[in-house]
Amino acid sequence: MKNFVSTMLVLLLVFPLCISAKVQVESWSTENNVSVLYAQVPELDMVDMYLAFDAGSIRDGTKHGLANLVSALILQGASNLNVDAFKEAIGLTGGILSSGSTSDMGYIKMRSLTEDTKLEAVMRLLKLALSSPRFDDIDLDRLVAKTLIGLDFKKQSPAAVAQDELYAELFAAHPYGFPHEGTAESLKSFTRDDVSKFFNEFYVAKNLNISIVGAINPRQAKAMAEEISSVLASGERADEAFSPPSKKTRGILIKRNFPSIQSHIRVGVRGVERGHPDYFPLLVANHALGGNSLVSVLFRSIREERGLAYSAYSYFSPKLNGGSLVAALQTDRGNQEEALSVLDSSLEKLRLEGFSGEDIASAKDNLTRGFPLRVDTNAEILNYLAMIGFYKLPIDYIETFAGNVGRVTPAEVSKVFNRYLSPEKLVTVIVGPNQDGDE
Amino acid sequence: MWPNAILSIFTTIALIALPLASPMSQEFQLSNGLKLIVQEDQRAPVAVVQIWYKVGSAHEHRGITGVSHALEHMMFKGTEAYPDGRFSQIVAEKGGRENAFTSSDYTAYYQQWSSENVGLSFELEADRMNNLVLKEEEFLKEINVVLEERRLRTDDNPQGLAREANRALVFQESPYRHPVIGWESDIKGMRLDDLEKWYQQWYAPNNATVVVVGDVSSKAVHKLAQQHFGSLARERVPFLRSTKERVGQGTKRLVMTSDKARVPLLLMSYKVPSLGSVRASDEIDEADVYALDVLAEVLDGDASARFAKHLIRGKSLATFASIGYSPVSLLDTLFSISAVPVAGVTLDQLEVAIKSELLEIIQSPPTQIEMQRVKSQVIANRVYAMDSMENQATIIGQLESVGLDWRLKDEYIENITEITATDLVAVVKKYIRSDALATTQLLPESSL
Repeated sequence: MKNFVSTMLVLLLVFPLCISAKVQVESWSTENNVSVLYAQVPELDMVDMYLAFDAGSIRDGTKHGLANLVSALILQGASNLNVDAFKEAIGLTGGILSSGSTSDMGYIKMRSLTEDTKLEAVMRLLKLALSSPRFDDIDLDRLVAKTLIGLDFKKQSPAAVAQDELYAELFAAHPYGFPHEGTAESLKSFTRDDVSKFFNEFYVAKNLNISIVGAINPRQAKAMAEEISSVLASGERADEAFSPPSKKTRGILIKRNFPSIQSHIRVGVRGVERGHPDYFPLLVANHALGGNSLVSVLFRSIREERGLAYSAYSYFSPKLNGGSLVAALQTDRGNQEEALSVLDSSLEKLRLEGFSGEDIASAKDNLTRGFPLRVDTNAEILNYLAMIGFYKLPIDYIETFAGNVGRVTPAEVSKVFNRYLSPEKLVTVIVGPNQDGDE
Repeated sequence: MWPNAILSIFTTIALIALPLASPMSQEFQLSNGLKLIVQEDQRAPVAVVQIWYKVGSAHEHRGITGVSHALEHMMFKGTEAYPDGRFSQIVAEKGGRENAFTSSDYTAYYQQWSSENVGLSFELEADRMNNLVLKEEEFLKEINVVLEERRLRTDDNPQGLAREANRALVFQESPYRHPVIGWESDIKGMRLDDLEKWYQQWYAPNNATVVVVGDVSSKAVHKLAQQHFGSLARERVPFLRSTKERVGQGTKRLVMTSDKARVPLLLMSYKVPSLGSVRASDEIDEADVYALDVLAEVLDGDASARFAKHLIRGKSLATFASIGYSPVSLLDTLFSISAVPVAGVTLDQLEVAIKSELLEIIQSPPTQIEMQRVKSQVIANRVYAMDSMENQATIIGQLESVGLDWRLKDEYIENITEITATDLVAVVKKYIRSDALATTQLLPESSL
């Protein structure tokens, strides 16, 4: 890697912290104020970089799916390289560039060997994509057509239909309530102007966090971060994203007919963002409910004790502004009523009596002792750094994780469980055959 | 999607010439026949422990299809020493992850956790290899779980149904025509007794391979293996009779309509050799397998490969087109194309275009740039693949379980890089022929 003019770097801070006994993290800001997290992992001759922009579908406004489309178009040719030439150039380096979006984030990831010529070639292509993406009409049309077929694929999946129905109800008119790939109407309306405008507004240095993991030294990491951030316009920091408006509910049941054998059941509630005081108690509650795979309450009561479903689980998705906690299962239509009643009564029992001490202890132990497994690959370390950087979590998030989980008491778990999963807040969605009388 | 996974399976490890952190791998065999392979990786204080049994749906026959998979489910139901989910509780409490998977060729179980728990993994696995308690009451519930799994993966999934039908169409004699999860009527008719027999027949130390990758010392792991598995007795294990699939019966074709499907799908499967099947035959050169793998890469290795460049972008006929080829299989396998047309293009049109793309390899053999691209990616992927201990262990376990030497994971890269454009032309002429092909078209009912 070329020795970038390191004297130009303004290192605002360098905080060493530990991921494990073996991996240390450093953090600093580039000259134009992009924050960077970096971990040196020398064993494998490869490097990963994660560029996280505040450019997720929360920035769509009414143009649902635009953030997702823009993230895909960034790697479809740049400057004088059309998409064929661009993809061929990447392929020849053995490197990988990929991009995408979530509800909060637009991201680009790079993976390369550390060999100078290869890494330089991948970096050159990445910088080209960031500084002068082509956004050719032909590529835009192709990706819109592909996304439309993706929407049809979702329509043949009862699980996907249930998921979309649930989020639409939980988050209503907020962008979190829309499928992040957009709708058929919105997708057909997008023009090159929409794409360029979105890119120019949100893919700017002020909206970027960089994470780097691999067999490169701090000087090289600093040079890479500097190279990337300096090709971007400084731009304006995106406005504080607005939270989904709170609303009064009275326990909602949505049923949709679907030509399937199984009924897919989801029960969801609004959750909290990372950093919220209730975050860790809810994390433990979810793990005991349905996150602790083969021993959770839902797995035992739905699958092990009654054989009602192949998968019965729950997931907690914290987002920039709030998020959700969802329990899910799928069962033969003939078992639907029984499965739903077991699910409802499990939740009710947990509200009244709380989790058993064993379940709380097992969930906490699994979360804390299992943490090393969550950061045992470069790819996973990278994802953690990106999450910490993007969501502005404390720099010692990984080090303090076990302590934060360990301090959660059964009383706190009961408290958040009763507050967040109270009956009037539950949204139940059933998608399956013979759901007479759509509501 | 497929080819990347396939490549990554083989793109591993240390050729001495490369400046890689060369992993220490060692093989041991206990006197009862159990094989142990340990790869040291000190990057994180964890280990993955896998135990692989050489039994899967390829060993089954009609009537008991799905029995290997159903037994895999029941293996979590406990022993006298660790009854009623105690196994899973222990793994959860100690921060571990565990699960199992069944394929046509093998059944495997794994735990990932702190490397200090390797001995505990061995204790638990040795216990359930011999002392599983199979109860009728648990079985009746679990067979329902399996049926729900089948509904989820196959019966309610139009693509899943089409893939299942395509396999049954293309293979005539091979047990690969049966789905791993089993035919619905076989699952419904299954008895606890079928599982009991299966367990007695196949679960033995001499039919098992234990793979450990992680922050361990090979020597210490070997000692632990002797301690926990050493006392198990060697047993008589049946062997799989090799079947030879015939070609030359003509093109097979199935047109399915589905009221559940909203998107049409085209599946084209060619019967081709695997590493397992060429080793069992004197007629086929092993290089054919490597050439087929490179062919898959040239056609569908990445976004610059021919399928993406020509079918998805240039001619705008497909919105998705990919190739699946799994050379690490016991028996003759498939070179399978899956494709979804863009709106307005029929499956017949897409089929013609894909055939001509395949034959185009003969007219315009891969250029130097194309071969260079594949080679660069193979070289890079051998480094990338080492990022995951789980991935490393899986490569070793798969090779051993289909009767190949795990050291092939290193040789494979060398063999791949020796393949030339001329070799690709030769395998297209030899295997991409209409009398080795089964086509399945899935049509949404609403489109008729």
